[in-house]
Amino acid sequence: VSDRRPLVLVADDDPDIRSLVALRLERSGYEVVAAGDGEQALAAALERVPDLALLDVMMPKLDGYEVTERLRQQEATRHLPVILLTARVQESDIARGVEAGADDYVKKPFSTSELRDRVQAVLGR
Amino acid sequence: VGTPFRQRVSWKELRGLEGRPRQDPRLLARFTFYLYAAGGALTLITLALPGPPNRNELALAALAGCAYASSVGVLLAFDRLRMWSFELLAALGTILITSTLYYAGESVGSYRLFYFWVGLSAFYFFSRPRAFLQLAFIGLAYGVLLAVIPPPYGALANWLVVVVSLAVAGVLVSLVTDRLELLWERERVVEARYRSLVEQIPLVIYIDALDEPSSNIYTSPQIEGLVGYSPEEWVEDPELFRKLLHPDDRKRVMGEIARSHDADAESFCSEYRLLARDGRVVWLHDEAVTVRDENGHPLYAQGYLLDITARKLAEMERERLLAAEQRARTEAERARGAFARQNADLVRLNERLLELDRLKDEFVALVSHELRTPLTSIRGYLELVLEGEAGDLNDEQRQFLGVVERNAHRLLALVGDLLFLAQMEAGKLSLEVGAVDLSAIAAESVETARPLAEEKDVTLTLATGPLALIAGDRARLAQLLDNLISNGIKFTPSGGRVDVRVRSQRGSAVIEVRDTGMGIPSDEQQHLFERFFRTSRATEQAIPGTGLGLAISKAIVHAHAGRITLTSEEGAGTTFQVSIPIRQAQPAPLEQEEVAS
Repeated sequence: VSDRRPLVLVADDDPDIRSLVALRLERSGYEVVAAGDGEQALAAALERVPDLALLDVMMPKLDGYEVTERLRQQEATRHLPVILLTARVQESDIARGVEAGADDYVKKPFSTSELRDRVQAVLGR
Repeated sequence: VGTPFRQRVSWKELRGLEGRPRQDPRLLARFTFYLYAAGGALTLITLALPGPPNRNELALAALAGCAYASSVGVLLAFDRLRMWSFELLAALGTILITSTLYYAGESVGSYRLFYFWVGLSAFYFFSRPRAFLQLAFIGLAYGVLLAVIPPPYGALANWLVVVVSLAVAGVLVSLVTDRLELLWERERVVEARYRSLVEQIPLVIYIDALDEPSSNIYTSPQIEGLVGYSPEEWVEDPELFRKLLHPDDRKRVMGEIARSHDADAESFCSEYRLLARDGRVVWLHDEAVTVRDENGHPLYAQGYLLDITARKLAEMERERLLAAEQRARTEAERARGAFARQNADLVRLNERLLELDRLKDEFVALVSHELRTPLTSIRGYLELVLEGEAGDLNDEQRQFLGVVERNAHRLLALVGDLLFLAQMEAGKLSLEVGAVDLSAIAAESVETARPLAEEKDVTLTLATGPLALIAGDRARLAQLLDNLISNGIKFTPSGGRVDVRVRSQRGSAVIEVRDTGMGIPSDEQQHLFERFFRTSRATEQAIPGTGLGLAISKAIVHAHAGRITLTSEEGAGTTFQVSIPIRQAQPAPLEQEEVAS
């Protein structure tokens, strides 16, 4: 188990960003599961519970807030660390994220190295 | 329109009014001679009657006949005789008859003398002012007779009785006639009063015949003051009324008058206009009743005319005002309706504006998302490439990608500024308030800007005094300092300097950024904090910038309840000074405490 790479769920409707984040995390030693919308993200998280979820806020079908809320309702994912990726920077948006149960948020545009640092901080590595 | 009537009549004036003469002296004189004639005739008759033997019945008869004849003669010539001759003849007649009686030896108690006395009494009765004159003549005549022809004893006493009786009778008659005078005077006053009533009351009184076209019998003189035609003219011309009637009223009023003449009609009442002689239009109220005899047969109509011109004019004025008021009311109603419609339009417009505002907010959020997402990819992949994740780069590749990265940063900054301004304009600029160490922020900003300053060979210094923590938004205040410092460096030529000072001053935190740059012309200073404003120098020298930095700086300062000012001298440099109150517990607008970072 000790050599198991931590699993990170990356959900973003923008494939470029999805690949970018996946690339950076994989190269930093993480296993990545990618999802293109909120439903896929929720399904993936429940199918195989990740160690951390990076969720874009503005996604089709279910947005990042809703996915977070639903994850919090499930026993398996109740304590799953969630970081929201958001281009919306108004305080009401941030408050919404906290309400939904997110642990942190990263404003777009972000530096991938900064994102990696945040992920490492949350996972305690 | 003034009233043509005289309103008051004095008592003196009333007494001076001439009544119809009650005492015609000539009529009374004529009556006297009738009496003489009758007396003569009676004497002749009584002489013809059987009685005690008389000495000179023939002479008596001759004298009586003479008196009778002369009286008849006077009466025949009466109209040509003057008053004094009546007096004289009357006195002569008295003397003649009396002396005849005396000569005939008649006694005082004679019934013949009784007729004579009755005649005199009647005369006195009707002619009091002349009674004393008559008595004087008679007394004189008797006096002469008694002196010239001494009466037989006994007869003298008898004649004295006659004289005294006449005098007493005269006095009595005088008293009676005085009394009658008084009655006549009263009658005259009463009549004058009625005349005054009719002729000076502020009305016109009239009497009309009931013929066609109701010819006028009497019109009181006030009519002349009203319409300028005298009462005589009214009586003379039966058509005058019809002619003076206003053409618009003529048919109606003539019809009303004709109806009022019907057998069962009792009264007439109408209002109409007459055209006065001078062309004025006079409004009249006309009311009349039909006067009937005891059998109910109609005799004539009597009534009055009242000048109601003033009232009619007032009524017309009132109607005009009422109509005007009505119009104004209608106008007001219309205006109210228009206002209501306008209001509804405004409500709709307002709803539309609110909707637009909401759409704008959505748009801003969307744009910010849509711009940031591709920028995230650009930056992210650039970062990977520059870190050598995709293989080694040669110097040229690295240099070119550096340009891309720098411009990506500029684009990102511009998006951030635009979003910031959009929020500010929407009143949605909110601060993440915390305890902020301005000195530390200033130090960070100076360090951030140092590479740029070194590149331009500009000396950048920082001086900080002791300063308490202030309540504020750390990120915004950093943005403010970055703006001011980078501005200073941008506009300062090589070899110049930019000095940053942070200190406490009278309860405020004061940030001062002084440069030795080109300065700002005074006419441009007032526009400096406007969005997208760029100084002429900045444009001329192609110094990069969007013109948003100072507008944003000002918004940040205001959100912290502070003030931003500048002093500048062309060619010498510019100093920006920001002052933020330290004891600012809750800078407005405040929506939310700082969240996660």
